[in-house]
Parts: sequence; C-alpha cells; structure tokens
Amino acid sequence: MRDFIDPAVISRLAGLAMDARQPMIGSVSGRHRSPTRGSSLEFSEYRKYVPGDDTRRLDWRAWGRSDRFYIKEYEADTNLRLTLIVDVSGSMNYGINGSQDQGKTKLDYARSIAGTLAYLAAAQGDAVGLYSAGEKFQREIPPKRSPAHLKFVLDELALLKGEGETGLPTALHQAAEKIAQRALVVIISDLFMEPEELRSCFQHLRFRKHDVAVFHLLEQSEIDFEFDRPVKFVDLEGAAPLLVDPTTIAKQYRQAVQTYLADLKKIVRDSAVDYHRVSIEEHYAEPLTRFLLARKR
Amino acid sequence: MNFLQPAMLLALPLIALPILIHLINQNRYKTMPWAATMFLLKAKRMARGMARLRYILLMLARMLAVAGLIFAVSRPMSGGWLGLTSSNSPEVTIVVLDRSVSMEEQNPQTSESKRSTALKKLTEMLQNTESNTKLVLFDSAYAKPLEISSVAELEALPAASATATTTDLPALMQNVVEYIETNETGRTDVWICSDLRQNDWNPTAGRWETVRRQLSVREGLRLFLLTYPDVAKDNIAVSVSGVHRRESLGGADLVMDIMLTRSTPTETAENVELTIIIDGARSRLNLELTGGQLVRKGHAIPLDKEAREGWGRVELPRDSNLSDNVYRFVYAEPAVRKTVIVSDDEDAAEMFRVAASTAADRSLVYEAEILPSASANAIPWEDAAMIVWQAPIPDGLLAKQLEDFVTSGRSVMFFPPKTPGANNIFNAAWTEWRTPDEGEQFPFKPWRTDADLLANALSGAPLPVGQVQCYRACNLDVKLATSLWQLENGMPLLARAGTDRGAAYFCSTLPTTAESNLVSNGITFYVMTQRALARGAGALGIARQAESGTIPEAITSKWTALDDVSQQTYVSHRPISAGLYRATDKLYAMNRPLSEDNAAVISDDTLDQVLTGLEFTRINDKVGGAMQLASEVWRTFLMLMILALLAEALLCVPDQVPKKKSLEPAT
Repeated sequence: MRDFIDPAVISRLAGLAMDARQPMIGSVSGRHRSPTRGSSLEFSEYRKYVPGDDTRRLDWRAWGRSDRFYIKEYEADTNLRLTLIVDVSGSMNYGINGSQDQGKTKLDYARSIAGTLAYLAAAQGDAVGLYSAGEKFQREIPPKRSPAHLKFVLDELALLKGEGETGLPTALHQAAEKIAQRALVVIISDLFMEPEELRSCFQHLRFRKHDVAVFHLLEQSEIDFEFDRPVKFVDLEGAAPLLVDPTTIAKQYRQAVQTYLADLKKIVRDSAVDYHRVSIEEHYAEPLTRFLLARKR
Repeated sequence: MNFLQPAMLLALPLIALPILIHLINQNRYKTMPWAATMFLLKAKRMARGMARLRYILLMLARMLAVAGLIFAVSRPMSGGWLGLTSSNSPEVTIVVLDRSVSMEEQNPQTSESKRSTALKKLTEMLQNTESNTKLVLFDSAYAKPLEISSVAELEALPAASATATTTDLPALMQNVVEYIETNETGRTDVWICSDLRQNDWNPTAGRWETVRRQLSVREGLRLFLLTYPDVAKDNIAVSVSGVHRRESLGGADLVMDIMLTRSTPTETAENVELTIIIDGARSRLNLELTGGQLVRKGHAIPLDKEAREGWGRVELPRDSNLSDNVYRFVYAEPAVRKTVIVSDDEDAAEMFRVAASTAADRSLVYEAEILPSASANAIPWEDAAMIVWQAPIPDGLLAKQLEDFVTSGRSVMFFPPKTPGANNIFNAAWTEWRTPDEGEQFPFKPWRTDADLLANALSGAPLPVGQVQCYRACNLDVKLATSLWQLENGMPLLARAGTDRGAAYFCSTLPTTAESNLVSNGITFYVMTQRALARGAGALGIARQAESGTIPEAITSKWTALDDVSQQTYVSHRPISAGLYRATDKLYAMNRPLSEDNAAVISDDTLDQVLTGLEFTRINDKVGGAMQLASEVWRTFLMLMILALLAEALLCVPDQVPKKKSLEPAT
C-alpha cells in the first residue's frame, strides 16, 4: 500500500461498488452494464425469433401461451475502463493555507483520490489507466486490469510532480481521441482555466460516450481571499508575481470566483458531467464516498 | 488663513504621513505562492477604476484628518482673512465710531443698534484675537482720542454711547490722521464703524484730500470699514420748526411746522399718530404720510393765555430708530427781529431797511433802524438780531464789538462801502470795486443750494438766484470763508466767514441799481436778508432751538433740566444729547441735527472715490447680525477631522466575506 492511500479508507469504501452511469463496453465479463445483450441474470426484453437464433434461448412458456416463438434476452455484464486524468500543472502544488508541504497539496490530494479509485476499480475487476496532464500530455498509461498494472499505475501516481502551466484542455481532447472504448473518465484538477475551454473538452468526451466525472480541487483561501495587508502573489505556474493590496480587490476577486463557479456549474450540468467540488481541507474519503454513493445502482 | 498658534503649522508636513505609511506598507508585503492567479488578474481588471478612486479617497480622507487635527490645534480664526491675529496684531487699534443718530437704527428682533452691534463685534474680535494692542477711540461726538485700557470697557464706555449728534467724518478722520502722525503709532489698524450716510461722510469735503494724502504714505496702516449701509424701511423721523406763541382771540396758540420724514419713500399712505406734549399735557394728532416727507405748516395748538413760555416735544410711535422719534421744542414770546443798518448810502440803506423790516411771519414783530457810520457806536447791541454793515470795516473797539456780536450767535451782513478801507474783520477785507472785463454784468458760477442763505426752499425749489445781475462788485480778500456764491472769475459774491457761533456774511455787491438788480429781482435779496435775520434772531429770544453738539459743556452744565428725560441725562452728556433746559434767562431745546433724517447712503463708487489711493477692507454687516469679525473656529476643523475619519472608516469597511460554505460539495 502506498502512503498516499489510506487502508482504512480502502476498507471503508470496499463495500461500495464503483458503477458506471451508462453501459460500458468491456473486454471481459464484469459488473457493469453493456450496451449489448448478454447472459447475465438481468432480464432485458423479448424479441421475435428469427432463423439463426440459438434455440436454447426460446421461451417455451411464451410459445405455449401465444403459439409464437420469442427469444428471451438478458443484459450483458462487462468490465469498466477507469481512466484517471490528473492535472499536474504548477497550480496543483498549492496546499492548505498556501502550504506546499508534502502531503498537503492539491496534487497530493489528487494522488490519494486517484490511487484509491484505482485500487477500488482493480478490486472489482475493472481496468485502470492513468493520464497526467501538465503543459502537455505528459504520461499516458492505457487501462489494463492486471494487478501488475495497478502497481504500475500506483508507481506512476507516486512519481507525479506538479510544474508548469496547465495543459488540461489539450490533454482532455487528446484523451477523448485516444481512449477507444467507452470508459469512466475521472478528471482530478483545480480547473484554473476559462470554463468555456472546458465545455468543449467535456462535450468531446461525452461525444465519445465516456462517463465523465470531475473532482474539482479547491482550497478555502482561494475562495475567501482574506488578507489584510499587501501580498506579493507568486504564481505557481510561472507567471509574473503580482503585488496586491487585497483589501482593494477582495470584492472583485470573490465576484470573479463566484462567476467562475457558476459558469462551471452550468457547463458540467449541460455536459452531464459528474461534478464534485472538493475542498482539500476535508479528508479525501468524503468526496470519494459521495462519488461512489451517487453511482450506486 | 491666520492662527493663534501658528507654530503648530510646522507640523503640516505630517499631512503626508498617510502616504508615507502607505509606501512603507507597500514595501512590507508578504510573499505567498498562489494558484488562482486567473482570479487575481480578473479582480485587478475589474477593480482598476473603482479601487484607484477608493484608494485616492482613502488617502485624501486620512490626509484631511491629519490636516484637520493640525489646523484645530493651531487655533484658526474665522477672521483670518482680515489678518487679525495675535501674531499680526497692530501696535495701535483706532476705532472711529460714528455716534450719529442714524447709527441708533435697531434690529427689531434683537433691539441692537448699528452702533452697539459694531461695538460688540469689535470687542469680540479684539478679545478673540488676543491682540496686545493699544486701543484708541475716536468718537464722532467728541472727535478726540480716548485711550482705552481694556477691550472689555469699549461697549460700556460713555464715550461710545448713543448721542443726538451728527457726524463730520472728514473732520474726524483728520483728527485721526493728526493723532497717528503726532504719536507715530507704527503698525496701526483703523476701524471706521459707520452707516455710510451721505451727510456724515460728506464725500465732497476738501478734508478728504488731506486725509487720503496723509494716510496713503503711512506704512503699516490698515484701514477697515465696518459698515451698516442698510436703511430700515419703516423708520419715520419727526421734527418741528418755527415754534412760537401767538396771541389769538380766545387766548393764545402755539404754532409750529411739523415735518415727518420717511427713510424709504413709498407711495403707500401711512397713518401716523403723533403725541404732542406741551408742558406735560398730552394731545394726539393723526397725519397721513405719503411719499418720503410730510410738512404740516402752521399747526396751532391752543395754549393757556397765561402760558408765556414753556416746553414740549413731539413723539412718534416706536419704529426702527427711537432716536429720531422725539423732537423737543421750547416756546416763549418771540423777540423783536431788530435790524440795525449802518450805512452812509441812503438809497442802499433804505433798500436794506425794507428787506429787513418786511414781515416774513406776521406773528412776529420786525424793526429796522438806520444809523450813519459815524453813529455806529450808538448801535443797541443787546436788542439787535442782525447788523447790516455797509460802511468801511471798522477797527478797534467797534470791530471787537462786531465780533462779539457774531460770537453771541447773531448775524452781521457786510456790504462794500463806496470807498473800501484797509481794515479787515473775520480775516476779510474789501479791496477795490470792479466791473466786468466783458459785457455789462458779471457771469456767475452755480451757487450753493444745500444750505445757508441761498439754499433751496423747503419745497425743494431753488431761489431765482440765476436772474440776478451784477454790474459792479467789490473784491473781497478773505481767508477761511465758505463761499456761497461766486463770480465766474472766482471772486466771492456771497461768503460766510468761519466763526464758532453766529454768522458773518460778506456780499460783494449792493442792491442799488448801479451795482446790481437785487432789488428789482427782489426775491433773492429779500430771502437772504430774512434768513440772515432769522438766524440772528434765533440767538436773541428767550426760547432757543439748538442742535446737539453745538453748545459746549461749559455752558450746558449750568442749565437746569425742564423735563424728566433731560433730568436723567448726565451733565457731561448734555452737549451731545437731546433735551430741554433752562438757562438763567433762556429756554433751550436741544435736538438732533435735521440732516440726520436724510437716509441717503453713499454709493460704493463714491466710497471708492473718497478713499482713492487707500487700501481698505470693507465688511458689510447687518444690524444685530450674528456674523463675527473674528472668532476661533477650531471646532469646525475638529468636526472636519471627525468627518474625515468617518469617511476613512467607511472606505475601509471590508466587503462582506461570503460564508465558508462556498465550497460545499456541488454535484
């Protein structure tokens, strides 16, 4: 177990299955619905017999009642491809109260969420992949379902390092193209970019029939902006530092944040994205619990 | 602006303290890594205008607060614009106080007069400025310097109280100038407190030129005019003239001319109720006043036949100026208006006799006696009201007797003899007879119409002086005389010599046909003779009307008051107050000069002309007004500071921070 994954959280969440919100196309049998008919125990529908159908699937009782041949169809169960996209831009190095200490940054938080989800997915037989998005698409691990692959994913997670400007929109578009089959795409980021840029990303992913979930990581001070004396803000993504008297722009800052959040909320609603705004001050188990419970069938 | 503690102003650079603190704070920033830079940039963009404005206002409020505090402790004066501060205080402050009757005009709400308002404000100003200055009062009644030891005494000084006098401001200012020059007063403030009445200022007076010339070269002299030019609309003044006793069929009447003068003429008819008190008995008289003036001539009031002499007064109801609401009079059997004509020219003497003995008022007795110059020592000096002297100017005892005659208040009219002598009297002497250089008659300059022998009639109509023709005139060598009528070449035709009392007139031509047409155009000759006679007769009868300020205290102090009001007047104030008195053998009614009833105020242009070349500060005040000339206004600055601090606090109020549930899960 890695230090960014809490076993207690794993054990607490183990009882909660991670379900897809839409049928998945998997390579093997699993616990997720498939768009095709299959041999699961879940009845799907009747349809008229056509020559060539397997006669073992004829419903003889229906023939007895109606003197017609009907085929009884069942849902197909398949596995899930969990694709984790983690933002590794410099802004993810921002931690609680501005701290950049190990274990307190957004990236650490993202690492914990991604690791836990990977572990849970692997435990229920789903494939897990990892994409890290910095200034460019940095790391790309396609989903696989072997335990060795999970170890590989977790190793990569442990090595993630936040730096440079965000390249998340580009990364999301690339991911939408590269992930061939339906997948649960989980994006973990602070999403510090124009909401309209995200709209096209989400729509692209949705167009590719992916189930998109977003963990939006924020720190409380980024929302409240409570400072009482001049501060020189050093941008974590490398932009020029800004010397600001916070009292003069606090109102406008909060207004900008609220507008951004409102716009983002509208975009995720329009794009049917499973959106979770997360304060990194709360334990990562809480948003995960909310995420899993919301997906429970 | 000026301050009582100007040293505190050295702290003014502290106004920059907020900016300094701001700059220091700017350099004491903390550095912080930040992720949400996009919001910072947006906020900065949004706040660019408002934030800067708010910041500027904040700085201004803080600087204003500091400035307010510094100014407050510097004890600013509201009269700072006058330069009235202890640091700038003059060595001598001269108060020129107009104590004329018109200065007693009151504000009905406060009952304060113009004079008391001016005194009060000057006192407050001098006390507030804490100036250590020598205070000298020149009041119009005494026109002498009075050094005052304490500013607080100024208001209560008898020498600053109300009088029934008029003001000769040019003469008063002349005295002020002399005082300044004599005492070398150094830095001097001169405060003239006046209501700018035309008759008080006499803008055409020659003395102004001297005053201007002498004041303009004084260094360190500042001239302030505390003026009250507003004229009350409701003020009416009353006066009586020609008061005399007249025998009638049933007994006797007291005859008088009553005059009402309204300060602001209006066509609205106003019913005025007069109270006439004669020897303590009251009667009422209703008059309807329209326009600016009403004259009720020959108003007769029945008298007890036995009442040969007495006193009385005419009173008006209360109005803006109480001092012109009462006019006092005394009456007695009129004296015979006797004229003695000393002349060796029978024709001229006869003409003088006719003009002097023809009665202008039939209730009076007129007599005229002709004496040749050789019998001049037989002149009945005690009985004569006027002497017409058409003979060589005498010298020795006769000259002395003539001067005493004039000094006693009676009149002498000098006409040129056929052969002028070398003597002079009243600094005047006849020199030689002249004829016009061109034509048959001398051309004239305009004559003096406002006063004296050739003044316009009561109705305002001028005398027909312009119709007079003069063919011969005797040159008059005269000093210190008032010219009433001049020939075009500047030679005086009619002049009055300067005397303390009485009048000595010099007429340069004769009424005879060879010299002039004064007889054929008899009105001018008759009127000037009768006016001179009336003036002389005024000093002859038992009952005398006198203007306040014309009789010295040495005389008035021996008088006995006739009524209660006069009884209450201080003896020292009798010369300048109105009152009714009995001298040994005479009755005196002292009243304000009638010129005080003229409410004309000099215009701003005229004032500028009068004070041409002098720098002066004029403060137009209202009677009873609350405006202070100078007062401490630190409270205002303290209030300003508090307001600035409040504004600063409002600008600093942080915006309401949204509750921290803003990061509640949003799915």
